[in-house]
Amino acid sequence: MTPPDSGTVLTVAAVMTLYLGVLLAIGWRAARRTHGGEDFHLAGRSLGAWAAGISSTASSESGWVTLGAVGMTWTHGVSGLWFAPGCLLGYLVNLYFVAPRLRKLSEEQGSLTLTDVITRRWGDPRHVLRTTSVAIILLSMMGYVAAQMTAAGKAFSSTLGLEGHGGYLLGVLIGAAVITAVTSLGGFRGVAWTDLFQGLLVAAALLILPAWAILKLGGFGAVIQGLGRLDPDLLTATGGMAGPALWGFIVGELGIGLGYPGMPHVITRYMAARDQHEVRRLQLIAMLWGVAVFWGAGVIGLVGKVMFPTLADGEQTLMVMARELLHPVFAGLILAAVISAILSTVSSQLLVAASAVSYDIVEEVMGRAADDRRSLVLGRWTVAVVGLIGMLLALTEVRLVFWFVLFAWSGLGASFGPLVLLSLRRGGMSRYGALAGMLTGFGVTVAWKLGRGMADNPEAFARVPFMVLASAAAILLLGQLTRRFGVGDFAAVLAAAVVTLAAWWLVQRWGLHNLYELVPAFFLAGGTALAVAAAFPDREKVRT
Amino acid sequence: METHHLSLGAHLLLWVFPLVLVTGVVIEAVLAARKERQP
Repeated sequence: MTPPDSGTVLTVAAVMTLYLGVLLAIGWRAARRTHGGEDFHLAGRSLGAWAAGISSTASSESGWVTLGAVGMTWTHGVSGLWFAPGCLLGYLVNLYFVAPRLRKLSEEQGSLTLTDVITRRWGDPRHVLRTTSVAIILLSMMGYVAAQMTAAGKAFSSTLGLEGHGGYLLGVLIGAAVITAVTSLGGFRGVAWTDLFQGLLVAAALLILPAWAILKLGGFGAVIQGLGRLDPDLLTATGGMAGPALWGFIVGELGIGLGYPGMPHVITRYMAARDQHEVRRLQLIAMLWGVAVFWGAGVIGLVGKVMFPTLADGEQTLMVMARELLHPVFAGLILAAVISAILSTVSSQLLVAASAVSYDIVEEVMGRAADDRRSLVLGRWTVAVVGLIGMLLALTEVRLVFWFVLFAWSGLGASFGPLVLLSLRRGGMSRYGALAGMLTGFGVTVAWKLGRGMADNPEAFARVPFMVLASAAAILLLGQLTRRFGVGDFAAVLAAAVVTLAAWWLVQRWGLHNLYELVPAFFLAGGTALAVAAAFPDREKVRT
Repeated sequence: METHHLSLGAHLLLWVFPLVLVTGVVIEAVLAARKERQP
């Protein structure tokens, strides 16, 4: 590999500047069409199939798809592709079960956020569910936003040739400022439109680059021979694994898909679709995008292994390949795609976190800013403040915040996934069950995840029972002091604590360290929700 | 020189699965569009 010359760096920087300009222009255009609260939080339920479909998928796939997924097949060969069926399993459930039902339900309810859907579905007279849901979203999302801003800062500083810690800080500032401005001005519509632009850029990059690289190598046969020469296991679906390690790996990879129905920044896109006809169209668009992007990323890793077998970090394959194979203008576009994958996720998460504060807490719980115009202004300022906090966290790299990122995907997936699926079927649940499900999902995720990492950090795992008991006591005390808890709420918190402690015990007792935490957390959350609902049926059932 | 081949599982994972999936969702979309057009 040769280091890029100054002409190349300048060309790439020019393409990146143009790309950021396009994002700002889209945000400004979206801002001119955003006139009120429903517009800001849900694009006035007016999105077409392309914007809603690509935005939902681009939001779910962060920088992971252009960096991590590529690194998976670079390291493990074809077996590294097991993540793709797992993710598409989640896409299938989301697009064909969740999307049509959620759009219909949210329109009937007049709800604007995922928290809104859940609370209106099961009733929440004392705002217990809404507050819990917002707390889980903020805990997961703020770390996520900060981590993605960090990744964007690193990508910007390396592509723009900004060096050292000063370069990193400038990179974070540029990325965070642009995306916060677009989200604050354009709201949901700005996020969806920029996601569409960025999602198409990512798909084009992940289709064209591997095709070009395969041609350069002399066909796919040459790739297979090259991989076989490096290690024959790279050409198998098991990657040389066997027994429990293999099954743990496959179940874990397929289990990634369980997270999708619980991602607020993904499924709110379906609520914003114009009508059911657009939902039908977006199903096909999103599925095709997913297949193109996942297999494109996978093939780049395989080809990259043959081309650059000695890379220090397989996750850099796409960027190295773009620099080595393409004209600087196209390399700039590919690097813009890498950053697009990150920023399209940041903007969506930023909006969800801001909506949780401005709509769910300030408007719904506190009853402020009831008129449409004030709701819009409040939403814009909240995005700006949340974006600023995310940026400061990214700049200062506060460790505690980044600790929560470890639990973000699984925590959100297990807390909301089972509830979303249960909310979209008839009956069989209550608001106490919903509360128990949310808390169990988050609790089991943390306990199991720490159990999986027990060898590296035994102290953290040993502290789980105290963390669970202290959290449960704090929630119960808060509920008692604010006089918001009924018997069912107490039972829900206790059930979640007991199930979390049982999970903590099970993970060490049965040695289930190989099992991805989302799988047990998802099913235990769903089971606990149904059990608590059966024991404490809500008499003030809300009609759907 | 030794010639290398993909294993059966690798064939399934690398191209059979995505091909079947894409074919399935396209057929579903066509059928759904036809059903929608019916009065």
